[in-house]
Amino acid sequence: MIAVELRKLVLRPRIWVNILLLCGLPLIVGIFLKTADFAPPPGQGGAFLSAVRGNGLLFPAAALALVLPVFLPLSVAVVAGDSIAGESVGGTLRYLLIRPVGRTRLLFAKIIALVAFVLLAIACVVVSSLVVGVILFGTGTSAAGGAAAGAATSLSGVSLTQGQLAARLLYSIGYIVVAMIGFGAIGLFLSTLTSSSLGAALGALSILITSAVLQTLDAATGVRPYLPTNYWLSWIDFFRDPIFWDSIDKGLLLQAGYVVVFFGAAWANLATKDITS
Amino acid sequence: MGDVTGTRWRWAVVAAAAAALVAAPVVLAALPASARMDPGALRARILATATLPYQGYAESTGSLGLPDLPNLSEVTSLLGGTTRLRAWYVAPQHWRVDEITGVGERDTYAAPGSQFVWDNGQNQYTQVVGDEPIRLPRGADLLPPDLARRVLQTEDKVAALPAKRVAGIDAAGLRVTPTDPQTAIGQIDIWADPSNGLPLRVELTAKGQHAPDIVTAFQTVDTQRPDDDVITPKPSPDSGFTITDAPDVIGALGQFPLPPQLAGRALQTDRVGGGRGLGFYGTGLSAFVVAPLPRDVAGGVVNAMGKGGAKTVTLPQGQGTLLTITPLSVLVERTGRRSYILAGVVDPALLTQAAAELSQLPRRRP
Amino acid sequence: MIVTRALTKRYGSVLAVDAVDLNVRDGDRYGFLGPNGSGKTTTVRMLLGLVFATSGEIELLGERMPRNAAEVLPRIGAMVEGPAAYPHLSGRRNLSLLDASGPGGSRRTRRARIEEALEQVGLAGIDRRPVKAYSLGMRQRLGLAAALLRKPRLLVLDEPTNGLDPKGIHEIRDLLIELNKAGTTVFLSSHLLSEVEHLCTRVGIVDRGRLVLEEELDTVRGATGLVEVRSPDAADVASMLNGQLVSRDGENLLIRHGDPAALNTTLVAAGLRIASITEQRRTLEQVVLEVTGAGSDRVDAP
Repeated sequence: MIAVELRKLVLRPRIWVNILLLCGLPLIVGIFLKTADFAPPPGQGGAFLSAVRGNGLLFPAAALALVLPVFLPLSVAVVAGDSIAGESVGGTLRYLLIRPVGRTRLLFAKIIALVAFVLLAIACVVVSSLVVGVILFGTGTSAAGGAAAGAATSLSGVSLTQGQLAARLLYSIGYIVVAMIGFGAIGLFLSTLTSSSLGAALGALSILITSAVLQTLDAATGVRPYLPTNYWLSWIDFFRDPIFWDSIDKGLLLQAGYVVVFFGAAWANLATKDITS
Repeated sequence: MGDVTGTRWRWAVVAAAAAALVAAPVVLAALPASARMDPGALRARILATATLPYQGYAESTGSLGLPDLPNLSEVTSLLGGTTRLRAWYVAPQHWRVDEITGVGERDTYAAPGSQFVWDNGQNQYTQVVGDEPIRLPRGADLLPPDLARRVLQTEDKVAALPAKRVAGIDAAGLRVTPTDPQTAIGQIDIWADPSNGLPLRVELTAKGQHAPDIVTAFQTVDTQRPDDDVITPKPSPDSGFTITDAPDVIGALGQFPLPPQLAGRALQTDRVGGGRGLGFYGTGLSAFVVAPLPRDVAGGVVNAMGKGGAKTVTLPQGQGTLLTITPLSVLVERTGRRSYILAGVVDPALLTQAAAELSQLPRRRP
Repeated sequence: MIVTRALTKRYGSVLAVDAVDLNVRDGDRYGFLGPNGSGKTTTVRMLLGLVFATSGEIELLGERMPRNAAEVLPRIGAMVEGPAAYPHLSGRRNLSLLDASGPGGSRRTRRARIEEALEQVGLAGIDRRPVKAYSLGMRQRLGLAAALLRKPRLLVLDEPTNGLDPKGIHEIRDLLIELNKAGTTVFLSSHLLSEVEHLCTRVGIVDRGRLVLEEELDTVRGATGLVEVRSPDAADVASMLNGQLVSRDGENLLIRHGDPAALNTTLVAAGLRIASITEQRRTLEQVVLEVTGAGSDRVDAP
């Protein structure tokens, strides 16, 4: 069943359009950065954007920072919201269930497919932005006379070797994948509630927006540690030196909690739901 | 069968898991704390921690709604927001503190004889050579050990407080009640690890208030000595690098000599460059600072204070603008030729008195 | 093959299916008839484990449902409320994905089974067009092919000829009869009387959630005790059989008589010309109208 879900995922034109759009945003930003003569003022604009002009190797990090707040969750919400509701509205859900595919098994396969989508999307963004970054901005070796071997500077002002940079980028990808799975769990649960993919996706997005609003509201400090988006940007802490694990650990725990609760709720709902579509 | 009972037990499992997950952090934070220690002994132990190495992460939250004063936004954000601090401490002259924000950080490395400041936003290392006798408050000052030791050095009226769990440690508490009647601070509550005296949490409450105005506490802390590698600055070849001499900081502030006494408080000559430029008056929690303001800056500051709800006070010579945000008071004194800013966590009347005396200084140049 | 005992489904205060006792025997071609909204589809969904019964029991192929769904369902082919497929994929790809997603379909034989099923439903020649380019009839055939993929012992079909032209309906009917002869039990749910009348050997009629009749089709369509006679000498026939005449319309006469052959002999012996003489049988339509009330889609003024 998992293999079938993965095949369905890659056979879907919509998925690839989605990923193409995700890769497009960093490309557009990169071209504007290159053609404009001035860098964004340091400390303003997206994370890493001012550093990118000096070193294209940092562009994947900047690209992740660009797509993370809106574009990536949007894609995840669409895919997660479609996972059960899409089958339901198309009528294929009933044929899968009488094939028979166990309901828990189906849900599990959908989760794996969602994880695969997140991995695929982020991998495409990182690879495309790495290529774009190196082509547009070079690898930053010229400034240091080649001695620094393409090193980038961490947020703490310490040089990172290419190997360190790659490792931290991989950690960040892992963290963002976990964050997106936590968010996708909400979308998947909503997807089992309704037979409208769009409704489920919009529901997940409205939770995202609510969370983002509450995060900036001082009066809501008490609930802040529970907000799904609260630790999303903590992957930036991988680029500090030494790596700042405190928020990352909390973020991973929080997302694990969301995964457990919302996949659990999706399971509780789907396993006993009357399929009438 | 997938009937009603089937639905119920599944949802019950999910609800129980959700409740457990939501409650877990609350329960962990509310773990009973029972540490008890004689407050006098605890004070002594805290004061002896200046050489105790530690590393940790602390958050400081100030609820003072200061207006955004020109050139002072870094200070106002310390008192009016949350500051996140990573600290590695070996000795009073050997430490590193990172003030971190969402996508940036500002790191200070202290080494005997000089300091390095890395500003990620500016992509710039600055080395400050020589001791800084006077400087603006910075994030590192809000670390619980620094703040607690500074308070306890001048105050000794302490009482016991119930224990509290801070960063997972069962911490013993003590309350400091300032002895000087003219400070605006009502009390300062300090919790420290009874085994080694390391202060973990400090709450600062203004007179007449119930809720603390500034709370600073470790989220995680460890008394393991940090690696030298971590607290040694390693400027990247791609970043800018400048060197400044510490005295320049004062030199820029003006050369007017300050009177040896204001409002009955003595100028702390040992802390300021010979009483020129900027000066501290009084000691401990009732100390206040006096600094000359360039004319153009003074206008902007007064404007910003006006928006923050400042009122005008009449001085024997010239005019004063007084802004009180409990417990902090700020007063800008303007006469025809000079402007001074006075600030401290003190009774506004004390600042007004000091400003009145300043305005009557003889008109002479140094 | 299908046995239900007091099968009941309640949605809130609405009783959709009310204590239905179905009994479909091995080898039946069973017609499950009922007006729209009578609980047919809900019953079919309960049989297949899509909807959970409020109370009652279901046995499929001798095993309890939905408890043993994993063992039972692989031996069943079904089409519920119209076909469904992923519109952006080809018909073959759809069948292959569906076959791969559950148990009971060996990967080795998959390609051959798909080709055979497509052949059976008359789609052997389809190309790689995506399903969204299919006509309604083609989708219907594809849905049927999906049900036939694993040579099921029991076929549960809901309105299988929907969207097909008369020739297509005929083809499908022949296919189902042929499959039935080879040993497949067919359970056909429909609101089309003619479909059931032409195909089925047994019929169950459901009305407002209750099973009101379950009988052999031949028994249902029993003689009415009347004989239809057409004669150019209608007036003479009428006067001769005065007491037995039910009605007369020109040359057509309706006569109460138990034996058409004997009646024919009597009339011919009397020198009367008979153009046609047939025993009147009840139509399924009459039976359905007798045993059911107004359809649920009719809303009368109070």
